[in-house]
Amino acid sequence: MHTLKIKDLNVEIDGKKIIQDFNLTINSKEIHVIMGPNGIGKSTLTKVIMGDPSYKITKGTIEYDGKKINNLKTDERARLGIFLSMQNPSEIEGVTNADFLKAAVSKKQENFKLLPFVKEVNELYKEFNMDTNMTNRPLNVGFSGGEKKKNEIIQMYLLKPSLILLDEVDSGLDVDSLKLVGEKIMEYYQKEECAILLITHYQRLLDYIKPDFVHIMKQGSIIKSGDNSLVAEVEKKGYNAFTKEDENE
Amino acid sequence: MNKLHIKNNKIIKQDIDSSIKISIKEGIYDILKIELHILKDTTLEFIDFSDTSKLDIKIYVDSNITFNLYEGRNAKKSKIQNKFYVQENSVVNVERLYQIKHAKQLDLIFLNETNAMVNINFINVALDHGKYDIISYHNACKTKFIIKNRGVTLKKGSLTYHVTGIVYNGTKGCVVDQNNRILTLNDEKNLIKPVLLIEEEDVIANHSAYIGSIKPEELFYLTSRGLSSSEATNLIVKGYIQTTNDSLQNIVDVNWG
Repeated sequence: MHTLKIKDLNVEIDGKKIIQDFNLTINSKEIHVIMGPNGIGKSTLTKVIMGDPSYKITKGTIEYDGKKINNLKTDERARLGIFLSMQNPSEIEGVTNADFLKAAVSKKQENFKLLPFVKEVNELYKEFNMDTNMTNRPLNVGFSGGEKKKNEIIQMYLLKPSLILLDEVDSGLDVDSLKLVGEKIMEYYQKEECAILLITHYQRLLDYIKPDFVHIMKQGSIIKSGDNSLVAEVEKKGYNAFTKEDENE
Repeated sequence: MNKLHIKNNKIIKQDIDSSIKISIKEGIYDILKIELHILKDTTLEFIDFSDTSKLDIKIYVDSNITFNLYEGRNAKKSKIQNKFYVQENSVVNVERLYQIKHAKQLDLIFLNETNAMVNINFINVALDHGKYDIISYHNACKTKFIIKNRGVTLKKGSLTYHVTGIVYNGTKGCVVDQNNRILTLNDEKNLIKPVLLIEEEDVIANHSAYIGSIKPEELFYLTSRGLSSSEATNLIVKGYIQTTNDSLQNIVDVNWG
């Protein structure tokens, strides 16, 4: 059982407040979705949980399994089992997918063995309808938007995290790829009994990933929480219908 | 493959076949003068691992020849002048991998006849100051010079690239393509000076220059997968200076240890 607990979190970058008095608790076997208009701190939240040094926590705590992780480095958080599937995965010239995956997985696994790793990578690429030759290409360089997102989920499968942060994993995916990625995320969730925090703008991904909790975020904090029915309410009314006053309902 | 290995300005291995006519002389100020006449399609492995290296190299490439030069250099101090004279329909491909403390180098490329072409792929690890002047003279129509410089600065390393392409009036259909990048892992000053001196209108001329450190978002991406900051940096640098040429990589691995 794993728990992420965010208490009174305040975050700024270059003196600008992005997240304010943010509270959220996520347990294993729970899927939380955060929805909200552009530019209100949703992606920032996932990066701050992952430990992006660009952001400054001015107040509040992030705890994972009862341990305060505010001051842990990004790689230390990753080794605790936190994984962030990024909205715009970096393209890194010269570093091949294979070298990167091998470095990351061998760091995680004490008894790393190359042949089973290669076999697992090739099987995953096939399952995600990706050409296995892409492992020899520079990391995310020249990948389509959909290929980048699939590559993120393949990394998730290889690293086997216990808390998954999915930042707009649906962007750039065509209809078939969206279904495949959605189903693969759910397959992993059910098998590993992990926790998921999903950032999305659209209902379409939620046809495959069924949330237990839905939160509306505005002005850097959660203003309304509910169950899956809240998604339909957002689709119908739009974000403007929700205000800070909803927070106390 | 033809082989020429140098250590401390002395030839320690010379294995050259009939495709190359070679002449080696010791000049004044301890300069080693090497002349290579390329007579047929061929490949040369040229390795230099020296405390001090002073070389004056002239390479003459006859018409209709493809010449591949794999150059690996690991030196404390080097002062080198290379001159390439390339004739009609000949192609010279140069793959370089250098790790030098203090370097001063001049490359003069004379593209003397139609369709002469030189490609240089230059990977360079600078541990002290390295200054590289590279000048291509397009003396005939449809000549091409393509250079890709990739440097990394470590410790007290810094780099200066002066890359100049000269296309005279009347030499139509030439291509000059200069791509210079320096990845800085210290706070030393670096300089890239791309110069295109073009008198002719019918020409394709490009240049790009980048000096900078590893992007924070790249480091964040790699560390988010569990790699430490230094491991992520190593991975990026290794990828940056990795030659795509397996032969040269193999030569360097074997000879540099």
